[in-house]
Amino acid sequence: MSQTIESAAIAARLADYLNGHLSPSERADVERALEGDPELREQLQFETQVQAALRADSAAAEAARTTVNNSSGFAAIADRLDARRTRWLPDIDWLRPVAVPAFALMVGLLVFWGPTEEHADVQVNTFETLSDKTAPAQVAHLQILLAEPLSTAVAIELLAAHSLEYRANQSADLLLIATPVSQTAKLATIASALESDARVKFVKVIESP
Amino acid sequence: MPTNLPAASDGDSRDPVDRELLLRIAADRDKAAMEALYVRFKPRLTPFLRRLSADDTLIEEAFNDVMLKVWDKAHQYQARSKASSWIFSIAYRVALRMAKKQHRRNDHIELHGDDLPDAAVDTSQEDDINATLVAAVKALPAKHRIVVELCYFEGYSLQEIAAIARCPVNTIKTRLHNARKKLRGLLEEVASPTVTNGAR
Repeated sequence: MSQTIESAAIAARLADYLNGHLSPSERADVERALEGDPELREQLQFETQVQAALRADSAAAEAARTTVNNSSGFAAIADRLDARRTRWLPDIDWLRPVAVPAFALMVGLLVFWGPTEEHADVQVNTFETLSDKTAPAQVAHLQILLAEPLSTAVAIELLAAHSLEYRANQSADLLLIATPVSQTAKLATIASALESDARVKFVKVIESP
Repeated sequence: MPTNLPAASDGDSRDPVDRELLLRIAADRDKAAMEALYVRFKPRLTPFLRRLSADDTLIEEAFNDVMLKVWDKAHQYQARSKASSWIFSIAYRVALRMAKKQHRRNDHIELHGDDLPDAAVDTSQEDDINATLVAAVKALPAKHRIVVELCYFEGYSLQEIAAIARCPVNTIKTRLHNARKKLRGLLEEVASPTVTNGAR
């Protein structure tokens, strides 16, 4: 296996070649390389074989299926659609890698600093529930995790732009604590604005008891 | 030199309708559009999910889960990519969870000698190789396996797979490279069982 850098680059593109995703000039490059390189030809043959095997296996499995279900199956979810709210926060799967260390960090912060007197018995929501909280009075404060550290001045400016009041900046400038400026401010509106701000990674609502 | 390569992005002709349906769902929470999208994607997503599990109930659950997420998140679709790529990016995560669930149920395929095609069975050599390859793909780690399925079964480009998996193209190239290496190793093992058995 002594592929040159050039043939290694071509080798990485063989799958796209096989699937017909290359432009005519790229295809010509690959075909030129294939002509002069038996190792590349062997790799292409192998990838063709993998593709044929997977597709043949799927075709055989489909042909062997004896139960034909003519219903679309949509009824199984139709009734559940109304009950679901539009989620404004990014996909929880995307959040998971961030959420776990962030949660650990927040627990650490609570241990080190302890809850403030004002919010001695706060409850922590899950990350997904912010848009469900429509009563601003219930919100003790928001914890906002930033994508990257910001200066305090910029953090204050960011929060003000989202009708939030700066209260504290902890954990190496990545975690902001804020409260809604107005008690009548709709949390959903704030949520929607924060969602479109690339500097914000996620938000957690800390509820009043 | 292959002469019968598939056409690029054979899903393109369906994309305008897919997009329109997604946008109607996002704008109006249109259930008729949702049903149309459901019907259009069932035959496209189910075979992909079935590549990862043989359990029909699990597949049905996974497909419905994908479509409910599509309903929830349609407003996040920005029409910068094909609608099917966007929906597959949701399916990718559901499929990963499904593969893990399968693993927990302990009915995933471990590639041992018993799982490999029996040479005594009257099958052609090509069938043997295909069966070995399929078994080997099923034995790959979930992240590698899904990338292999998206590339070779679904025919997505590396760029599209990167968008679906939300990772750099080079990560996809590395996963494919590692997956191919494992598959090759296994094929060689099957091709020379005496040597392999001696080494065990």
